Amino acid sequence: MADTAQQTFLFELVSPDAKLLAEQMFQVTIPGSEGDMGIRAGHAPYIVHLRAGEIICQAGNDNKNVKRVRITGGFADITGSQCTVLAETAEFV
Amino acid sequence: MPSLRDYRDRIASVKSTRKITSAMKMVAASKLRRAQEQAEASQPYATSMAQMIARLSANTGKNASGPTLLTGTGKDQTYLLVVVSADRGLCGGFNSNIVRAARNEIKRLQGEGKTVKLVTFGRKARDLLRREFASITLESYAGITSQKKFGFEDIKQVGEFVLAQFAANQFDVCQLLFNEFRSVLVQKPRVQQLIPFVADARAAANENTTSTNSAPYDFEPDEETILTEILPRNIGIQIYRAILDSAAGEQAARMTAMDSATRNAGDMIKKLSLQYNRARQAYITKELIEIISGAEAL
Repeated sequence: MADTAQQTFLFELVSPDAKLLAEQMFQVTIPGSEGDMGIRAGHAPYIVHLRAGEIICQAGNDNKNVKRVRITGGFADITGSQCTVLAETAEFV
Repeated sequence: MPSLRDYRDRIASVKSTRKITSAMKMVAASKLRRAQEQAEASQPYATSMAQMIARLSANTGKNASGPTLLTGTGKDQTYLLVVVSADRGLCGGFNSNIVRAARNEIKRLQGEGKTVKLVTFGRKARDLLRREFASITLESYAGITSQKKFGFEDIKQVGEFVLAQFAANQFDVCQLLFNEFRSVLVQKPRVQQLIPFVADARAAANENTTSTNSAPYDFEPDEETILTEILPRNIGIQIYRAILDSAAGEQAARMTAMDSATRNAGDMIKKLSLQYNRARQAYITKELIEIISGAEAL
């Protein structure tokens, strides 16, 4: 696809007390238990156990608009159009 | 016959009761809004987690080697009941309903020859069940939901306790008993099974429709490792959700109870004022008669 660079997907960060983030992202890097994973739109369906670490969310194909969130482990549910991260605690950096 | 003064005192006392109940109603209404918001905020996490587990267990559920939290211990001899109530009273039948439901459930299970153990959450459940079931109560939590603010961190210990007991083979089946918040007017006692895990019917149905037309899932590290990580967390979150539901229900029940108490007090004031006026009228008439007959005697 020619416009892959522009494609975004819905990234959600949910904690037991609130939905902390629900935004369109270009790329999100999550700390999988067996190594970091970069996720973009159209990623294969995946369920991943997350270790403690940092999630890096990029809204565009550049280093502007980057959000970093520190979590103490959790789970990620990835479908082609959406990525939901369940974290018991999350802290924006 | 009560004197005029008795009537006046009664009316004043009912009026001050009405003032209190109507204030409590207002407070409950504002607390209800906050409790509902909190319950709603916890919804996405619980739903996503239930969906994830449904997906995972669809893959591993068939073989018996799954974690015992999912498949159970293979027995159903010992039951652990977690009963969730409010900390405070004055909320209609809210607490007595849940306690009655708990008592019936315990009696039913014991009648079937099962061993029942009890964990209570909330001061009222502890106090009302203590006399009968003190010997089978493992743990009581109280005073958490009546705090001004509480979050997942405060509730976590309950789930951890349940899991520790399960790990120590203290029970086979765990059930959660709480007042489900249906609407402001309706809260119904509900039994939910925690261990072994039963897929939420709604999440499962959702899953069936989505999984047929999407690619198969990959897992990292693998299904079983994720399941053993996610299931204990799910216990905690289910308990948290039940407690939030119950907390919202408590405020709703209190609001309704105080609303009708306020209305009853109003009715009573009306009735008493009528009686008071009648008594006053009778008193005046009597005095008039006395004066007139006194004047005639002259």
